[in-house]
Amino acid sequence: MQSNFTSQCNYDLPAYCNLIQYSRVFRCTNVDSLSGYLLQFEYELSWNNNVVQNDGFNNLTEGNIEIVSDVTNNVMQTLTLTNTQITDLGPDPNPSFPNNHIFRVKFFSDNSQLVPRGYINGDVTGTYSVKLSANFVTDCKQGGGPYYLWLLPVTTYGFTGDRGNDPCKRNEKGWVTPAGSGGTDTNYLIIAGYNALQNLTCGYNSNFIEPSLQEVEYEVDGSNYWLPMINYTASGFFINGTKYIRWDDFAKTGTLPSGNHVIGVRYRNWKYNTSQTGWPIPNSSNACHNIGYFDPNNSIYEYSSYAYEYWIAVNIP
Amino acid sequence: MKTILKPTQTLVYIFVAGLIFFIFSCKKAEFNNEPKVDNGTMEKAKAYIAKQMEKEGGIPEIFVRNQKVNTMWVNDKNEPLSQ
Repeated sequence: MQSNFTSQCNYDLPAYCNLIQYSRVFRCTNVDSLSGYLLQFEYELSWNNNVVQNDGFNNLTEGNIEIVSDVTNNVMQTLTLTNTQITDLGPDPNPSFPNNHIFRVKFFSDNSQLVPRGYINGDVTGTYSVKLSANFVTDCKQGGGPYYLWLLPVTTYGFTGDRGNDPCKRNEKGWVTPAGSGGTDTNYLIIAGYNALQNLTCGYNSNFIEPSLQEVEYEVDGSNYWLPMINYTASGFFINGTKYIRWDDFAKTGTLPSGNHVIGVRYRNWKYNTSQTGWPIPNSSNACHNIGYFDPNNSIYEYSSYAYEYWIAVNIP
Repeated sequence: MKTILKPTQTLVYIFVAGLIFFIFSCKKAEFNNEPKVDNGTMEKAKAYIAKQMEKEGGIPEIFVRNQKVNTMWVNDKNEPLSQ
């Protein structure tokens, strides 16, 4: 969704800019050389300029990925991502930045940009680091050469190797179906577990360790008051009627107020410590959950534990 | 024998009856706030999810962060610009 607010075009830098999540999707085929990872990453920033996909002069907002060998420091693969999703979440509530809107900008690689599994999981040569950066264009161009806001590269952590295979250090995707037109035409949202359709047996690499449950919550219009979504398909088990879903369960919000709203949904993984009977509600004694990864070698990194998704102007009937 | 309630006793009965009515009203409101999902809606949701999965190319494994990123204005060669 493109924003419709007016850019200030005064060369201000964003009030903040954070890399909020990155994802890997293992894509497999019958031909091994055509298997590999699709990568995605997403920024959130507060800015007084519109971020646009194309400024009208063929200058594009682009994401960049560099895969670097940890042994030789050589760049092994570079990717330029032009498949972009730009979402304006509305005005920044911080009164210090009255002209700013909050944007989320997400980049997707495609099937021609698969990353070999060795670069993600390590191979006989060693391990690899993934570096992410981006260039944003705005609608401020007034002649002259193109110029960009450059988001300097940052190295991911926890994304590759064994750390990435711990279900309590990542989140599986929860599949949200929006309400209103384009979704279910209902006055509530539905979320499904990460493999709800049970038809993707080849969606992961061989190192995949599955989470036991996903915890799912929602909020309306940026209230930051998170309510549980309700599991309605785990009949006969302890988690039925709670905010915890299995890989093929579904959960729903309560009835939403009619009209246009911004609906936030968040979810995170839980994994039982030991084998359990009857799918009990997880807690810190019987399970681990995603608490956000904290790098002991670099304490400046803040962390979060939930994956967030926002649905703009959901028109609730 | 005719039973005559004292005024205080009557008030207590009225209060208890009101309390029961209030509790059941809340239960009903709570129940009404939980929508029923019919088969048609489930089919629509599954179809929508199938499209999303196809678009994503599989099931994303998400690594959540809140990692600060530095920014600067640059030209098309990523050389810093001054205003």
